[in-house]
Amino acid sequence: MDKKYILIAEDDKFYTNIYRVKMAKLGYDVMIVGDGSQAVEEAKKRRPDLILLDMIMPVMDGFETIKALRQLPDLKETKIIILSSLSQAEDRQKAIDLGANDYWIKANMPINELGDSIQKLLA
Amino acid sequence: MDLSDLTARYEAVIRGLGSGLIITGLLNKISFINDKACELTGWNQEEIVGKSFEEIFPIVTNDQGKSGFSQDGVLFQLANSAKGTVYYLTRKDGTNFPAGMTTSSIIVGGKVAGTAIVFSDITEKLSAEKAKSDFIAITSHQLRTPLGSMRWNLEMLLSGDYGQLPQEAKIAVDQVLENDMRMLEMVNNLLDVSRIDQGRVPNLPTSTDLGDAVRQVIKELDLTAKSKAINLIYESKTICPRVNIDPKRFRDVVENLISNAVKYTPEHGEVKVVVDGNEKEFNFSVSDTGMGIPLAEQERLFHRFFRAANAIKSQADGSGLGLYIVKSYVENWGGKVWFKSEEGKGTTFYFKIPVVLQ
Repeated sequence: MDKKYILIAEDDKFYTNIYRVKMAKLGYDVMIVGDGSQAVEEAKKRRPDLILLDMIMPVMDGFETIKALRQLPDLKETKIIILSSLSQAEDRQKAIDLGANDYWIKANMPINELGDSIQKLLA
Repeated sequence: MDLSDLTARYEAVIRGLGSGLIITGLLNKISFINDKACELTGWNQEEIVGKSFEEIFPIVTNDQGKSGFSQDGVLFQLANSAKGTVYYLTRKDGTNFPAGMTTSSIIVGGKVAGTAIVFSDITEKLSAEKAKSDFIAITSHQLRTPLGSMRWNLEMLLSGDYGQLPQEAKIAVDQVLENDMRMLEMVNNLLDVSRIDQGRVPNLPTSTDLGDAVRQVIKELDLTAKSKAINLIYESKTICPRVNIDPKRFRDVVENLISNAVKYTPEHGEVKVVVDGNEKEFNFSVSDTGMGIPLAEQERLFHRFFRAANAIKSQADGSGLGLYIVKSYVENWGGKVWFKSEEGKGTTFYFKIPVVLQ
């Protein structure tokens, strides 16, 4: 069976490294880009099974990226998760309203819970 | 001292007063306004003396009310205003300014004959408070990003994602992780406090099984309790009601209280959690056999950053923010939190919250 493909937009080099190692360990194909507009370009080339977006990024932030991704006809059903350090309830609500499937707060979840949650989503 | 002497003294006080002063008589009719009050509001003496205070100065607050005038139409009510309420006075030109106000009744022959209202413009004070809160919020977010990536990296080191570590290294990494988590908790608490101070406590209520939520917290704290050989007991007197409440905030409250009890109870002690509910209210208590709170310090226990002397001496971690957060949330739900404690014997914390029907 083909490996599931996860597209990640993240500009922080420390988180980037974590995602690269962890996703490989979990057995996923992963593409990591540094901002939202690149994520949209990559999503057009190859349809991801899951998209993880940081919130604060250069060029195109998480909110705008959700909007742009949801306009692509192929990506109407693709799961989009926000993974942010921001924990404001309003941010969460806004992301969900724009079409994100969930909103996870980076610092408040153990890495294994992140792995488990992703596996559940892709099962 | 004769009457003219006394009058001269009062006049000097009123002239020299750096605050606005308005005196009202029966039916809240304005009988006097000092120069500073004229300067602050834009009105002059002739224009408003004899008019009703409410008519000239409709009270505007940032949280829709809870202020106004008492039934007898005289006493100006500010005492039971909600925390964080800001009152605005309206100027003659229709603009508002935030006013710090105090009022006192003028009693003549045992009856309220009017009110003295002293006020100042607190625009600058508010902006300083906002700057402080913003600073806390911004630095907290800035800190959380690196603390969060450190957490994940450390967890991955421990779980072997970067290869197996020697036993000694594992212990060291585990200790770094513990410190990292401690800092994260502090940052999260600071963020909560800055939101409380700004009156922006996040509230995402959903139908929550309170008994379940308490049991979940106990389950998570059981390991810590066991490591100190503390007997952590749960007792539910009735089936707990479901309440429409923000589950995360409720969890924060329960977790703070139970983890404090475990933290400040010596080895082989006992921590007992009792929940009880009916269709009107939910009651919670947690009793410990810990060090207790010194009588002289009990009054300040819910203050921000306050920690009792024996708690500091015990070397247990704490930021002094937990109980402040607990009190703010519980009161925000219309509830009440209190405690009974005896130094050297133990403490029981209680809270109750009304059940909002689904």
